Amino acid sequence: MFLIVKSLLALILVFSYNLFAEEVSNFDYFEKPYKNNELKSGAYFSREETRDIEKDEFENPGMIWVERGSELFNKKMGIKNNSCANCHSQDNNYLKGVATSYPKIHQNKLINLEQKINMCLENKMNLKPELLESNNILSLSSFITYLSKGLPMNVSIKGEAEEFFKRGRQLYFERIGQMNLACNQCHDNLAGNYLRAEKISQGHINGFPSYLMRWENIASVHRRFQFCNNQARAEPLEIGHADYNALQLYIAWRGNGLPLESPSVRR
Amino acid sequence: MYIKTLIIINLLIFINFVHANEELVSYDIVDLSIPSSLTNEDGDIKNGRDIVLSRRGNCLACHKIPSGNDIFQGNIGPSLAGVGNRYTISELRLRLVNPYVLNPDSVMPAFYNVRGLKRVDKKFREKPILTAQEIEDVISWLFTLKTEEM
Ligand code: HEC
Ligand code: HEC
Repeated sequence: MFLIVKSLLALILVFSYNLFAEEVSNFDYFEKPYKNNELKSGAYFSREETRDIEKDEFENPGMIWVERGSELFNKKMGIKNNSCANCHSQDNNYLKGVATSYPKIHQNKLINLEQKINMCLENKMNLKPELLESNNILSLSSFITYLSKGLPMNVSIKGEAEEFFKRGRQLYFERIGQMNLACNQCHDNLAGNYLRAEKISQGHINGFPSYLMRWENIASVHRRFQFCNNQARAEPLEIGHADYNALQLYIAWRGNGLPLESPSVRR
Repeated sequence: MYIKTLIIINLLIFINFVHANEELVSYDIVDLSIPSSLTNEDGDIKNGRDIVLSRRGNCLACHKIPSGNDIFQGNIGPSLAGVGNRYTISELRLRLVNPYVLNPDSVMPAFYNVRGLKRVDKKFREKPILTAQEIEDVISWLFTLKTEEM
């Protein structure tokens, strides 16, 4: 008898807790940590030397990927002997602005730009899809993103995107890893402070694909997520994972309005 | 040769398994402190200093610390200069073992805890960041930091 009462009480407790949690999280679901006039790109927090390298297109190592991407974009490939440029007009203008809206919904799924490129390779050009973090995909995505340089980030979280947005938001605030850290603890609450030698930024992704000097390589948004996961000693997810896309959507939305800066340069 | 490596691999897995299931030392929290030592041995002050200033404790990621010759010191937490003056050994022990008791939102990790964690990397699963003895070593050195001078 006592046991039944006890478990009933426990049930009520759990239930009311859930109700409460629901209420709190719905309340400020669409609140952003930074207002539009407070948004600052990662470049603002990086060192002057690094920023100078980013600004100078002759020095910026990320431009190598942009150039390689431009060549690939215009190269005829596959049995159809087609190039991306065949479909996307000769002067490339057709894809200008496109990068500002990714990740976006495609056939009920949220996909990012690298995945979209792979779909074109596979479905429109009869080529084998490439690894998302391969040189070819990152070159094409760097080039296509570069076409939108200076245009404001503008992802949509309406309609079908909303549930992915909510998932992404949840992931952003979830404490993970042996260090038990969540993204917001560093990028909402500690921006401007130093984590050892590193000045913490607001954690935006308007500079991706981004050239990381420590790896002497270009990195996708998902690669950067893996790196932050490593630092919290959390299990990283696979590049292209649905949860990383959801997280990418939340972070992109939180920075909507920031001009695209890819290829950015970071330490 | 093949059999030998197999045996070694099995042994390694077994040892890992035993380690992974090792229970953490239990402790009582009294007046926002942990009065009893987690081990039977005194803290080794020199080893404590090494842990704090090296990647092992990685305390410099967030704190400024006296005699940290490293010019790269974080400023997320308070400076640890004079921390031995501000707190007793028992209070320092709680701050390392479980800072969430004092501040549930703390960015400082609990250095001796394996509970309630999500998605921990395989390499670190079921292991505390520092061992019980390492905690004792660290707090014995922190307690020597008596002045505010860097
Ligand atoms: C312990 C602190 C910490 C945590 C937790 C953390 N980060 Fe970071 N993050 C950093 C630091 C330091 C950098 C490098 C400096 C910078 O650009 O902010 C960085 C960089 C980034 C960048 C690149 C910003 C740019 O402009 O290049 C992104 C994006 C990012 N983090 C996202 C995340 C996400 C998503 C999470 C959670 C899964 C996360 N971070 C968790 C400390 C952290
Ligand atoms: C990721 C950041 C981070 C790391 C790593 C970290 N701390 Fe902290 N620490 C903090 C913060 C923030 C506080 C302030 C109290 C709070 O918010 O919990 C703090 C508080 C403290 C205090 C209390 C200081 C006071 O004046 O109140 C001590 C002692 C301390 N930390 C020691 C250490 C030691 C020793 C290590 C390494 C073994 C360490 N911390 C690693 C962030 C960190």
